[in-house]
Amino acid sequence: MRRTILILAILFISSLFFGCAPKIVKSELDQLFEKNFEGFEIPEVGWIKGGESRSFPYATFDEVWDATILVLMQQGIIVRSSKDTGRIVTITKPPIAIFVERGEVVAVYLNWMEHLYKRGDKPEVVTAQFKLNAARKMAKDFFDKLATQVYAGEKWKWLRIGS
Amino acid sequence: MRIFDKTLFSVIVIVLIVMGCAPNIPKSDYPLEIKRSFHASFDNIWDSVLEVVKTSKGTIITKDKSSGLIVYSINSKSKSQVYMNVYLKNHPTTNITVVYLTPRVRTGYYLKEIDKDFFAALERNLGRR
Repeated sequence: MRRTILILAILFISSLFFGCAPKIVKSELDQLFEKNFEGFEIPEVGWIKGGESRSFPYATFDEVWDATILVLMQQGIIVRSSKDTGRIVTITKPPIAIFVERGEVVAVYLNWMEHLYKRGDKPEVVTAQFKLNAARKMAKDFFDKLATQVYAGEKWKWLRIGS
Repeated sequence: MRIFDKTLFSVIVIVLIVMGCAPNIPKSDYPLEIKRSFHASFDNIWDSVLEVVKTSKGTIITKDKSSGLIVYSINSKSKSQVYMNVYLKNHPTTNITVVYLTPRVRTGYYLKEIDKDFFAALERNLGRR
C-alpha cells in the first residue's frame, strides 16, 4: 500500500515539475523583447486607422498627445513614440499601436498588434490567444481613461472646485 | 524515521520547490503614478535622465525629446528585466519640470521601489550641473 502511495506521489510530483519546465516556443514579441525592440518598425497610419477610434473635441493635439502618453505608460511598456507622426506603440495585452490625428477635432485611433503573438519559426501558430471582445473592452477602457485625463482639468472644470 | 514519514517529508519539500516555480505576477491593476517636480529646465532634466540610463547600464528602448519620453530597460537587483517609462513635462513659466515614472515588467507593474534609486540618481546628476 505504502509503495503504491509512494509511486503515485512521485508520478504526481514529476508531472508538476514537467508543468514548470520552460517551453522554448518564442513569439515575435518574445524575440523583440530579447533584442530590446531593435529594428522594430511602427505600423503604418492606414493600418492603425483600421481599428477603434474616438474623437476629442475641445482639446488640442498637444493636450491629447500628452494625456495619451500618461495613460499608456501606466498601462504597458511604450516601445515606440513619435510626436511628429502622432504614432505610439505600447506593449499591453494585446500590444497596441496608437495614432493621434491632428485636425480641428483631434481623433485617436487604436489597433491591436495580435500578429506579434505569432511564432517566429511557425507564423501560422500563435503563442497566446487574441480575444476580440476582450481587446474591444480594453480599447474602451483606454479611451475612457484618456477622456478623463484630457478633460479633467478643462471640460469638467467642476472637478477642481473645492478641491 | 519510517519510510512513510520520509515520503511525506519529501513530498512537502518538493511541493514547496514547485511553488517556487510559480511566476511572481503583480496583482494590482490600479494606475500607479510616481512623479516628482524639479526646479530645473526641461533640457537639464532630459540630459540628467540620459545620464541615469548610462550609469545604471540601461538600454534605451525609445526616446522622443519632443514628447519628453524616454523608455529604457535595466536589470533589477532580482535580475528581472525592468522597463522604465519616464515622461518629462515642463512648465516654462515657472521653470518647473515634472518627472513621471512607471517601472514595469512584462507582466505588470514592478513594485519593488526602484523609483527611489532612479530619483536619487537623478538628483545626484542634477547636483553636479
